[in-house]
Amino acid sequence: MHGMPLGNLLVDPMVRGMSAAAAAINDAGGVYGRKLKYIDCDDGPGETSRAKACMKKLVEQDKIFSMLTTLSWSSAAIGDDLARYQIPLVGAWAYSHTEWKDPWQFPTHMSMLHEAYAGAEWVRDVIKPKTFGLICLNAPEMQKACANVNKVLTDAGAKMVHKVDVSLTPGDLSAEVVAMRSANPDHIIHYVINPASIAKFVVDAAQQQYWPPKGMSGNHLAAEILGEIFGDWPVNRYWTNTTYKLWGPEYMATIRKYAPNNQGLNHHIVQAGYVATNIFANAMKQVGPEPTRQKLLQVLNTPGAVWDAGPGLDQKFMWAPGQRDSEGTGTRSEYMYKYVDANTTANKDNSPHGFAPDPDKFNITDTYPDDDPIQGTKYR
Amino acid sequence: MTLGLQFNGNVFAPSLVNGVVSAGLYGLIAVAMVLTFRVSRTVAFLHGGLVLMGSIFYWWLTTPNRFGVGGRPGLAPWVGTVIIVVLGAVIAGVYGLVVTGNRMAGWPRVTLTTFSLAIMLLIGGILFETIDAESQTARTPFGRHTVKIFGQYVTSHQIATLAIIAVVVVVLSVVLKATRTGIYIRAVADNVAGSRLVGVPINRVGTGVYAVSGALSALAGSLLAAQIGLDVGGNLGVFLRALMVCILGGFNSLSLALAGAVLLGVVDNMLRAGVFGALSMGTQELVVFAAIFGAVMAINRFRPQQGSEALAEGL
Repeated sequence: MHGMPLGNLLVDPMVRGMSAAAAAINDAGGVYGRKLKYIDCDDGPGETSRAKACMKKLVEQDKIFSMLTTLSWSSAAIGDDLARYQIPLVGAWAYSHTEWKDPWQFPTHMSMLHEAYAGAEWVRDVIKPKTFGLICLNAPEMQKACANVNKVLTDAGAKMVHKVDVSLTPGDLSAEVVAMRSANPDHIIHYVINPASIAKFVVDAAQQQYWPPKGMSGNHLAAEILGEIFGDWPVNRYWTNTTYKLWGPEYMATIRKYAPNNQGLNHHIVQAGYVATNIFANAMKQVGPEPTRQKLLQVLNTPGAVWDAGPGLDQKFMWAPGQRDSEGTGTRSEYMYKYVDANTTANKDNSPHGFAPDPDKFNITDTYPDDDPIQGTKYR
Repeated sequence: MTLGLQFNGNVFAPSLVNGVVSAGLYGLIAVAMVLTFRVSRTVAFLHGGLVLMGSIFYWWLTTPNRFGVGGRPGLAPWVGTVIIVVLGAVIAGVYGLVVTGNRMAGWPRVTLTTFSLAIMLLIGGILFETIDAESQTARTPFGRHTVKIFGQYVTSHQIATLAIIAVVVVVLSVVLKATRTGIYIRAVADNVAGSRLVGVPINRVGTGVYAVSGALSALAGSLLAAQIGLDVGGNLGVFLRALMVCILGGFNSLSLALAGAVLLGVVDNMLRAGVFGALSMGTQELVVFAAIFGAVMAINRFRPQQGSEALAEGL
């Protein structure tokens, strides 16, 4: 998805991060002497036809053994390709909740729908707004995420006073700021994913000298570049939730050594790709010297198997059937960071700068009882 | 659909102000489009490329590298603006020289329009391959001072943008009406073949008009970079909306194109700000298009029939 808005800031660093993780594994001897070869296929702006063409090319021409991560708006659409080609996908980015339900996929990112519950529960418990506003991407998955936020907060007695739907490429959002200011919510929550869209709102809000009295929070903006885009206006009154702790010493050391161009461009999806690559290598080691895809699936689906993200990232995943929603794993649990400085480039000691663990509730969890949005069954 | 059932007066004045200043986003591009249409009778998508160039290259020229080493020159915004304007004029001038020359001037309009679309994509492709744009809003030569008007903060950049458009429209109107160059342009607009027969230097006029309009488009791009940032889709969206407002004056009238920009800005902002209640994005677009085309029909119905001279003056 190099053709998405800000692709050079979001997608290119991920490719470099994945290559770095693979290079580090190869330098350490690879997997039973085999070297990992990582192939990047670009589906432009995340177009479904191009994503499917990528799948065809990767499988039929490049003869891949496994998919490692996706970063595409069309990630849900390639589910049937994975089943048809019998290719596992380790490190799906879980833009769509179906990725967590697909036996061929092993996501290393929390489902957006769970994120919405977890984030909203944090807002409910920490911010305690009487009224709230929503900014939602005009896409089904994010609309559903916003519905989950609405459900949690309205159940808690808060009232949604305004909702803004934004596209992936809004020209400007100054009118939406006017509307939000008029509605005057205590707190605004965004489920937009695309940083370019939400950055526009923040920039226009700064110009209008508007900010909700109890701040703003939302997903997917744990990125070193954020300060450059957001500036000073939201400092100490903006929060973002993310799957991993920022930034992890081993992750940063690997990136610094093998992907120096990622300096200042790391973000949580790069972490997710790095984690996926390492988990894949570990799983392949368990598979043994004669690897098959079936053996890999068996290893990843081993009941009770916990896959750790690595030092300092403090995240783990379980993918066995019936255990994917386990409490305390990456589908239910993540972290809330407060934006405390417009310089969000990591410190030299690999600790985050500009992001601070939220002092009131750092580890956020989805404990909300609700119907499974895909299967229609109670999952709590 | 709740259209017409609600009126939220508290956001009316701010969104009106916001709509008028938003006209600055579309106005300059629309003026450039009208100018080139007058000498070529084609829709010059070239301007979309120049808007992108103005936006991304201006940002690259004027925004210092985050880590302070290598990369971008970090020029003063004024210097960057001048470079962008000159570059826009040169690119468009060369384009004008080619498409109004003897070989291409006679090509079918649809072919020339498609050619301009290809040039737009070519410029975009070169930009994307060579510049890794980040999403900051670029610096502006006009500063970030704000003034509150009817509850809405307006920046010095937005005011300057509107002032530039007003000056450009007035100057161009005078040039078209009262100078020999204006007479040439009007003649070309009226009848290309006839103009050539009576000795109008069509290629020179065309090149000049394209150069001026290219400078305006590039300037518009740099102003956009400082207003809405570098998002390619967003900037192209502004360009397409500018294209739409040109219809108001039949691609002939500078003042009606400007009026269209204001109409679009105001209607669009009022809908998005919720003056008429919460409307879906699709409904908003429908209403905006209906307003523009309603205005087009009203102008055609009620505008006094003008002679070809007045039409050619583009007033």
